[in-house]
Amino acid sequence: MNLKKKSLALILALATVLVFALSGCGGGGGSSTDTPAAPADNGSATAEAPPAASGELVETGSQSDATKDALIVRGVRSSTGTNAIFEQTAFGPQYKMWIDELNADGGLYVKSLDRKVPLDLKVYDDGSDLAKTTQLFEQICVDEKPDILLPPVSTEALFACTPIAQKYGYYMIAGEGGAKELEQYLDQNPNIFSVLGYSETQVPAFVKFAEEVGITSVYCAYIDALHGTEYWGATKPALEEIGIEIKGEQSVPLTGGFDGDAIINAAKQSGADAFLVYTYPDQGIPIALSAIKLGYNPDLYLMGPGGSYDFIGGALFGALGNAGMEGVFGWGGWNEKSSDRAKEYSEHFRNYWIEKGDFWLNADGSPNPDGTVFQDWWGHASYYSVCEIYQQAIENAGSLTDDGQLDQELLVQYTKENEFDTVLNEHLRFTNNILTDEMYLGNIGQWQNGIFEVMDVDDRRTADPIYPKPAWPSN
Amino acid sequence: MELLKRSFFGGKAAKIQFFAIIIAIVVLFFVPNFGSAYLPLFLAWVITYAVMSLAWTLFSGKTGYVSLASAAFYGTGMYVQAALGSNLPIVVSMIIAAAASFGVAFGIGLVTLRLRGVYFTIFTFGLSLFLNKFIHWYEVKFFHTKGHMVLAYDNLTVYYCVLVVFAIFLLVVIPMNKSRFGLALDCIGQNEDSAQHVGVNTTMTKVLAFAVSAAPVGAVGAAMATTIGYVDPDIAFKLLASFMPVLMAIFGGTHSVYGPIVGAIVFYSLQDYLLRELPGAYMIIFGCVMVAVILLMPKGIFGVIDTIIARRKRGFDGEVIGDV
Repeated sequence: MNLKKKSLALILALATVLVFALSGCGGGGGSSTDTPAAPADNGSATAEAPPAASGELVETGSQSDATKDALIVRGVRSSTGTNAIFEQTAFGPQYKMWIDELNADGGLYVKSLDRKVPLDLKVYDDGSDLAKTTQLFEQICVDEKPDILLPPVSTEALFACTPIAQKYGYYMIAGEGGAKELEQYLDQNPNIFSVLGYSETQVPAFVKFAEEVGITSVYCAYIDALHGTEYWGATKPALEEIGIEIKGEQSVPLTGGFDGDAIINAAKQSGADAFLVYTYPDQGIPIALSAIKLGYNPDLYLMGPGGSYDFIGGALFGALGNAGMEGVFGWGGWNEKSSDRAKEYSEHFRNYWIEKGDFWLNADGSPNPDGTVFQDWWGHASYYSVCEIYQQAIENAGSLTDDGQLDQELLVQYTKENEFDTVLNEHLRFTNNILTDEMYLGNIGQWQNGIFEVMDVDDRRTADPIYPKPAWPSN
Repeated sequence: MELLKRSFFGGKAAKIQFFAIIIAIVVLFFVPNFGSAYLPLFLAWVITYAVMSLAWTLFSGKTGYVSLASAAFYGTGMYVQAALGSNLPIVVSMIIAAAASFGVAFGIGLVTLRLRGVYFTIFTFGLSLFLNKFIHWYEVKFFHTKGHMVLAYDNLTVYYCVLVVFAIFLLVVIPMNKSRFGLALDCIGQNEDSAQHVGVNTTMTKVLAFAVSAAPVGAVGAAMATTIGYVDPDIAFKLLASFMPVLMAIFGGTHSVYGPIVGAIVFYSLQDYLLRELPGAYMIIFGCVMVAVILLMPKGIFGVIDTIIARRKRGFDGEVIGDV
């Protein structure tokens, strides 16, 4: 009996460890804690005041005698689990670059102190487990009292953590997720701002484009997660309204277990002009590989999140890279032709990480030897804008409360009332805590000669569209 | 009434136990006033796992039927809160969640508790997956979205809610263990065929125990949903919620009502500490500790404490306490 129970217990223990590991809680490669660059001068560096802001300034008063050795930056991020890919390639590199560069320059200028203060960054890993995210998030809000609170990774995590940040009066800018429902949510949580484009601006841009090039029918495969259901839920009626026929649709499970060939065969048999793949890279890549293998080449092929990543061409075509992606569409859209600021940021980001050499880590945490740096032509401009907004708000309205924490209310007030000079828009301004269409550099894009060209039907377009899509490369 | 008297006042040990429980609950009532604002949330999670672990022990520990349905009942509670939480006081939605979980367990139990051994375990494991997929299909089909916002409550309110569930459950489980019903469950665990021969309606006894153990899990699921703020099928019915209570019960010891509680406290505190302080090595250390406890302390932590106390009482001459 005892032996049986021991065996049962061991099997259960192993099963739990396995479930933990599969759900991302297992300690994968690398530490989740980013030790900050050592505060170089204990905040004693005097600094030039930043350029004047382009709106009303918040009166902070002088606190130049106050002691503040470091600005505490805390976040709960997904270093492991299903969201880790986004943290590694999309969000994490922005925050790391921003903080490393500020600390190398003596820190971040705080207006009331009239000096720079180094940033002390620590990030906790939630293993992509939402219950753990909320728990750790609340813990850092209460116990660590950060000056800068970083948002969590994923739209779902934003939904969950927004009320927590609001409850404790934190100021938070998020680029980590976007959804229609977030609009009403931000109404109830006025301290939180969101910068990432989502269905509200992107779907109308696609529909307008579809009308422009004369698409008559579509087939859609969508991920059975918030993203897929929301985007397809918005696209379908909008297409039907302008007379575009829906030839077919099918959901793709988030957790795997789908047959890419079957999806492609169904789309092919439908005879639709356009094939829309509203999935994440984990599903979008196998489906695209099936399309290439089966020679399915619709007039328009749209890959959802991940379709605008620099690495997508490499994942599908190996050495041929993004040259193989000719004519494929994706969400978002900006490139180095979008604006001077965009070009400057893109080059800076690439050069910084090439020099640093650890943008992309191997599974064991070691640097990738080829030193490749990936740009996300949907989100990266938005994510870096988050850093710029934090920085400009603190430079222009940073002030300490009686307990030595950055006054969050002043930062909220400043953000609501002022414009920001960012990569995304040099006159970025929030409307009801989100960004309106004109704030973005683009909503849809198309790969052309290895560049993700903006395809919006307005003056943001950076190249003429290619329609119909050329055939996939032969190998 | 007689049963309650016997359970809590029938002898010196029972009286001590009763008053110790009351004192512990009173202490737990005031504890959140003396720590950081995070403490109520931490304690709420500990108590939630204690309830889930105790619930698992009530059914599986006694009958020997290993259930992996905790996630199904917990998720049902979360979804009830997501659906009704905006319109009803949390206490009312918790009661409805408990009733819903009871109903699901009762219905499922009637169908499946004729199965024995590993077939039952596999079915209960599949139940969580089924509910996950079914609710997902329903949401996408009829609402074109996935997941729901849940009205948030302050941590102290949630803490008191789960504490009340815990207290009520504990005060029900102890007399139940000493009742004819508890005895019937023990009989089923020892030899189901014999239990049937002596007149125990084994199927209905198992179904009732399964349903009773599901109700508090649903109630704490409803309460904890308000701390997460957003619920979707993957969050509500995550498989870890089925495994964790089992491990906690084994970790603490399944031969006493206090074992699962001790298991939940130690297990969850350890996990919380390691996740924050040693995130990279968390799972390695956690796994080693877990395996070591299972190998070296097959009766769990509480079993070891029990053994030490018993040996002292017997002057190291007495026989070792019975099997786990």
